[in-house]
This record gives sequence, C-alpha cells and structure tokens, in this order.
Amino acid sequence: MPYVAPIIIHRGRTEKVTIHLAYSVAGDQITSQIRKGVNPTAPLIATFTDIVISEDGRVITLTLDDSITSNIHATGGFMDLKRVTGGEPVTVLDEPLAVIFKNVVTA
Amino acid sequence: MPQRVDVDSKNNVRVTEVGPVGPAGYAPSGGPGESGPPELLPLTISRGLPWTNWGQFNGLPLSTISYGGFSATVAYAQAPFNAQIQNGSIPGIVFLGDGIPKRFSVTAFLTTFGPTPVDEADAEGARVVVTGHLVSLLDGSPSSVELMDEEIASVLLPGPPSDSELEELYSSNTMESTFTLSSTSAMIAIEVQIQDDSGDQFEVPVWNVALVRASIWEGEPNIIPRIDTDSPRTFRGMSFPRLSNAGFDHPESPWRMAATTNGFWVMRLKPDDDVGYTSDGSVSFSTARDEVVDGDDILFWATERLRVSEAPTHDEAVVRKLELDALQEQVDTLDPESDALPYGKLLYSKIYNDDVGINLNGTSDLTEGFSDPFLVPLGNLDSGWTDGEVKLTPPTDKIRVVMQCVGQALDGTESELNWAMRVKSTADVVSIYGGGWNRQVVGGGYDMTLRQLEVVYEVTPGVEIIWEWIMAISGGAGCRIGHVGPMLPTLTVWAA
Repeated sequence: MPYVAPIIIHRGRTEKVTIHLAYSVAGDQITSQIRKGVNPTAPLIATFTDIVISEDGRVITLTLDDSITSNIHATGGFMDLKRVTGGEPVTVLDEPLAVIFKNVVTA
Repeated sequence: MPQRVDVDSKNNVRVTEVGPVGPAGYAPSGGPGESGPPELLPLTISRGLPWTNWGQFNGLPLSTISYGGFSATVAYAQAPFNAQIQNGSIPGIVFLGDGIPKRFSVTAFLTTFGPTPVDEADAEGARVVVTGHLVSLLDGSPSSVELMDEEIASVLLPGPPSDSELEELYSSNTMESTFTLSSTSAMIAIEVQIQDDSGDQFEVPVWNVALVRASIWEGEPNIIPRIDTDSPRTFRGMSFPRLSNAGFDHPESPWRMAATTNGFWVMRLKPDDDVGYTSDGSVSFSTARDEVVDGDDILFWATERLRVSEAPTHDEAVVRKLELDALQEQVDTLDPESDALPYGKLLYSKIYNDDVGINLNGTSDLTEGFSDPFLVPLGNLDSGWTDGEVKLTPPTDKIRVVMQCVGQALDGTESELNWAMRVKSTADVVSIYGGGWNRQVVGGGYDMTLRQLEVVYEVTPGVEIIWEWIMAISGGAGCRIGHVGPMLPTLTVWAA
C-alpha cells in the first residue's frame, strides 16, 4: 500500500481536516472519531463534533475545537469516516488514517 | 476499486479511485469516469504520461506523478510532459482514413506559480499558442490538413486552482477542431509555443505550462473520450517515460519525426518561423533524405528504410547480420507438421520487422547502404514497435506464445525492450486468458541480444481466440537519444 502521510493535530489548537472526494456525499450523515487503535472498541481519543459538507457534497470539513485538542494526551491514533447513506453505513476510506498529536509552545 | 489517499501538510485529505488497469475513470467497464467514445490517440500521446501515474478528478484524467494532490499536480506533474513540449511539437500516429469526421482537441494553460515562480507582471499577456497539422499520405502523395493555427489559451494562474476550478479550467482552455481523412494513415503534429504579449517567445519554466491532453474522437463535441483499455493501440508507447519519445528536436533544425508503418516520417512545422527549439541531446542528424516535399506550411520527407551509420563492433554478444538471418531462417523454415518442434504443434509464426517501419530484410549487409540519420530516429523515437492481433483456433487447452527479439544498444547506453501480450476469446471478448497483459522489461546495458518472453495461456479447445501483442524498444532512464540499434522481433504460437 502506498505511503499516506499522517494527519497532524496540535494540542490546544482548533484543527481542521478537509476530505476531498471524487463523488458526492450530500445529504448523507458523516461522523468521524480518533481512537488509539484500528478498532471501534479501542480507547476513544476525540470525536469530530463540527462536520460540514460542501454544497456539491464532495468536500467534508471536520473540525476539532481547541477545547478538545487541549485535553488529548495520546501521542497518536487512527481516524476514519463513517458515512450513512440511505440508512446504511458505508466505507469512505479503505484504510484508516494515522493521526499524530503534537505539542505547541504558545499557551 | 483501488483507492488512493493523499494527505498534505494542511490536513487536506484527497480520496481518489485509482481504477483498474489504465487511467482511472477510463476503463471500458467498471471505471468511475464518464462514458464516451473511444480515444483514438495512443495513450502516451493523448495524455502524455505513463498510465501508472494516472488518477482522476471528477472523471477527468489527471497525471498524479507528484503527491501534492490534484491542485498542485495540475501544474507540477506536467513537467515531464511539458519539459519536452514547450515550444515543441507532439507528433503522433493515427490511422483514421475512414471518411468519418473526427474531433480533435488540445487542452493547455499557463501558470505563474510553481518551483520557479514567474513574475506576474512579466507574464501579463503571455499565452499558449497551439498549432496543429495532420499530415497524411493520400494515394502516395503527401498532403497536410491544418487542424488549428494560432489559437490561443491565455489563462494565467497565480496559484494552484481549487479542485472546483479545475473543470472550468479544462473547459475554458480547450481548443477544438474537426477534420476528415478519406483514406490511408496520417500523422498528427501539434506545436506549442509560449509567447509574451508582443508575440515573442516567452521563456517560462517548463513546469509552468500545463498541457493536459490532446484527444481525437468521433461523436459529440462535448463528450470526453475514454481510453479503451482493450485496444493495443491505446498502449502504444505506454512504457515511454517522456512524450519526446515520439518526437525529435534537433538543436539547429526544427525537424519533427515519427514512425509509421509507412516508414519514418520527418516533418518541419512552419519552417519560416523564427522560433527557438529546445534540444535534449547532441544528436547528429543529416539532412540527406530520399524525398522532400514543400507544402504550404510543412516540409517533410519519408523513407522506408532503417539506416545505420556504423556496423556493430562489439566483440561479444553483438547482433550481426548473420544472427538476424539465422533467427529469420529459424522461424521461416519451421515445419508445422514436424515432430521435432520444441513446443509441439506450431500454430503461427512470423517475423515482424516489416510492421515496425524497419526493413532489415533484403539488406545485404548492415554496414552498407545506410546513412546516418536513420539510426537516430529509432533510438530517439524510442518507438521501434510492432503491434497487432492474430485469430487462432487452438486445438489444445493450452497454448504457448513465444515472443523473441534481437536488438542492440550500439554504444552501451541503456535501452529497454518492452512487450506485452494477451489472449482473449472471440466467443466472449471480455474473457481474457492469462490475466490480461503480460509485460516485461528486458535488455539494458551494452547489448541486447536475443530476448524471449514466453507465456502459456489456458484456453478452450476449438474456440477461436485473439492473440494481441505490443513490442517496442525504448530508451531507459538516462538513455541518450539515438543509440538503440536494430531489432528483429519474432512471434510464435504453439499448441502447448
């Protein structure tokens, strides 16, 4: 499998992850979580609470507020997307994305 | 459908379906792209880059040789293409002589951003100028058809476009033309110049020119042609790393070359133009030619012979005329009924030197009768190739297909022999025996003596099959142009 760069989340900062798709997910329900392992029962690190889908349905913007990232103590984890369309949960990413959490300097 | 994911430093995640064999979205079935008429240009000409680097955006093919995502890729990834095409030409080979109108389009634009940004003030008014010609050989007499001339794409991009802007960018920077050929084959040549606001040549870093595609298709003007992955023609030159493999720039004389089954064709666009042409090799090139025709805008000449300036002199593993003769004799004299054949019953055999525009047969000695320029095209073009198909009805449940090629890199530069073949049933054309194309890269180094690709296919006895093949010599990485010697491919099918 080709190398995929990890998502970088800075603790104490509001971070956005933007997903560009080749198809539309307009009208569908999108959820996303970061966990310590690739397993829905792995310890939960964070949940993206602010999820916006563009008008054409091809861009999903996920936001983690600084109030959430400030309390992350893990050094890394994994995230993926859950899309519910027509009542059915379907896969968006074939493989989870690696997530790295970094410290910042300015309080 | 295989998926490709790119993540940039801003946490932009781009998810694309990379598709099955061939450019994403352009497989004849199963691909996510828009349907459309078949693309009539070979893939490397129409899209400019090896298909292994292709991705898609909204069903549009995009080369994705970089990992910056599509926005950045639009400009950056074109570098291998445009490094060869800026103020140069795209000669290609088409066989369209059926009297049916064809549509031709070129999509190109200019950017000011990139690894070497261009000052926007300097670039004000700069534009991409595309000139296209179709040169055909009608009833033995050369003639040309002007596809487009001096049409201009003038969009300057100050920065990477957003994905949503790409489709509009494609649309607004596509130039189209329609032409009809009544018979025979033709060569298409596209010249691209970058001009400043006064019409003079404008020096722009090569990666700032995005020449996205050239297409020829039949049908509605607004339908995007799709790549037909079932056509051997589609993959002509598929292993070639650069478009210049189908072209030739001489440092002093802007000749353009291409090889056809009619022989090598050499042409010069607008010979009176005072346009500087780039060159990427110190290739000696004689102006001696068999025939010169002075048309309205085009000078060109043609020949049917490969010409070699020097006989091979390497002591070992050198391809000599005797070896070529021996190989030819071996194939020509095979007795299909003989019990002594190596693989059983012989179903088919042929030497395909006549199909590659290279005629070694009938030549008494490689050291005589040849002059310099015709060694250059073969190496430079990297496209001494043959392709085709044969229908057979195998008597057994297995057939063994053997492809052999004798060739040589005359001066030790790297070279490659690329070949591919597949067998499919005519009863069900989607049923491909042996897993589709089998492809190898062999050769390289000083010599390229006898190479062999052998594949055993399991087939249905009594059911007609089609065996398709492509075979080509190309320069490998670092291969200077003009150094690949003659090749002599042979193709045999056995009832294994």
